[in-house]
Amino acid sequence: MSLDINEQYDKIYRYCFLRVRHKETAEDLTQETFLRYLEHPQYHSEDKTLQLLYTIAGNLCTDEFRKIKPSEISETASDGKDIEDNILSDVQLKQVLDSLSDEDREIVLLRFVNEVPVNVIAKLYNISRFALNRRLNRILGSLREHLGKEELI
Amino acid sequence: MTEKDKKKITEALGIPEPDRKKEFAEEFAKRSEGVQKKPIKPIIMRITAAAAMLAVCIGALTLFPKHKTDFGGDDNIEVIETTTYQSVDGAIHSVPHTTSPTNTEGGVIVTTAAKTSGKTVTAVTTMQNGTTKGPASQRTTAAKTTEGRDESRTTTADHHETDVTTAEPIVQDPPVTAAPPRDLTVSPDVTYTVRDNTITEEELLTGEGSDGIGIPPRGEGDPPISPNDQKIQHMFDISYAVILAKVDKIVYTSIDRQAVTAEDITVEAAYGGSLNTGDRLTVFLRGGYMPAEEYMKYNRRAHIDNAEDYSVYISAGCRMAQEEGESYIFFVSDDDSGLPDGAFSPAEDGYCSVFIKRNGKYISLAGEELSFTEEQLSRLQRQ
Repeated sequence: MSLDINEQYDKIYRYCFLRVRHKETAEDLTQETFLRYLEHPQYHSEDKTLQLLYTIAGNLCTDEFRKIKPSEISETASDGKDIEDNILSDVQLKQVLDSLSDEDREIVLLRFVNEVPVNVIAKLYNISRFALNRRLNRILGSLREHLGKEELI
Repeated sequence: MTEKDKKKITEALGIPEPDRKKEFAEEFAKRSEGVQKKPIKPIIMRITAAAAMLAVCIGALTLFPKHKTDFGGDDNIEVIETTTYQSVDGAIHSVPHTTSPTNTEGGVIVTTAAKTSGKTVTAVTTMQNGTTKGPASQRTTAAKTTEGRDESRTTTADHHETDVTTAEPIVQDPPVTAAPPRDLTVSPDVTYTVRDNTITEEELLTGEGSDGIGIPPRGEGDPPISPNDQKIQHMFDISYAVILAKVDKIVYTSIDRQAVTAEDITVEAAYGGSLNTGDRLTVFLRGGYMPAEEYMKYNRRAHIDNAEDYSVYISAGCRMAQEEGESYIFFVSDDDSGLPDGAFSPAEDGYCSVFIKRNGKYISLAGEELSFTEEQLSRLQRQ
């Protein structure tokens, strides 16, 4: 299956940024992900392609995270521009998302923003579809309450 | 989810836009071409190997010696007939005769055992699948007895144009029948029995009472139901099979600490997909009963005294409890990820995919808002 770089770049970048919380590093890891993807055999199935991409990205982020010193994490978490954005954005929604665990936040990004299929996410996190759906419903309930929409899927 | 909602979430997560996307995309496109234009050699080798394998298989099939049945040649056919009779003194004698049919062509000779009826002995010699240029003839030899008795021998030639009654019927090919029903059921590793005392998940978590076991009313956490026709069409499109099936057995179990119900069902009618009438399979649905102490282990907010006396009921969106012996329409998927091998799951998560017939129409167990009629079902089946 041929990869649409324009579509997938943003998605993989968001995922990497959520993991490492540093813009430059996230872009480096995103590009590294796609370069390593080219070294693998090409899949016909879209699900397998996505699973490969996110697995590579996840492994790179894990390796990178181990290199980052604890003091650096708090420094790179946000800069002045981010603080302004936080004020302007939906504060309540941010609070809800901040209250989630790291893994739940990643799942929110993958499922609701990147639109990764449920079975791919389940395999990435090594949990059953049942457990994932239950988790998603719980998160969705909280999100819906703050976004104020009934038809949110 | 709309683009606006996605953007809200992205902003709330504090994710900035990337800077180097465009230039990397160009570089990636060039590198992708290089990857796609890899040397052809491996592909040629694979094709050549596949072709060679195919040639070997074809050669083996054509050169394999075939068994040929030799029907020709009178000299090869020898019939031994045995006449059995009972003489006056009570002793049973048998007199074998060897005969060679004459003027036969390509026939198979079948000789049945002699039958004795009273003092009459009859042997039937039948020639099948052959033609005769003239009546088949046999020489017979009278048996030696102390008393005269009747003895008859009948010889018939069985042409394919004439009907002849033979002692052994000609074996014909069995009539073509539908595929036999398959048993595709699986058994969960862990099963729970429902205790005498039950409590719903909602009661356990909120501490609020309710009437009896009770199925909680539709709440905020439940998925919304979109317009009927679209939803039904969508489920039809994504299902591995759409079936009317009877629930034979309901077993409560858990997977990854989540309550799950395993239902053994028998297909009564198939409206689409790859399952046939009579097939038996197991469908795993979220929700069900689990021991209260086990539920509390994984849900720390829950607490009840004497937990070992209770089973917790987790509805998972089910508004009408299923019963063994009842029939339902199932939209099933063959995706068994996270389930025992060979298990089936609902095509859409939850009880949206299970329907019961009420007042002439099929209503989802997730709520009466989702339903369809027989006519809609027939229309979908014909598409």
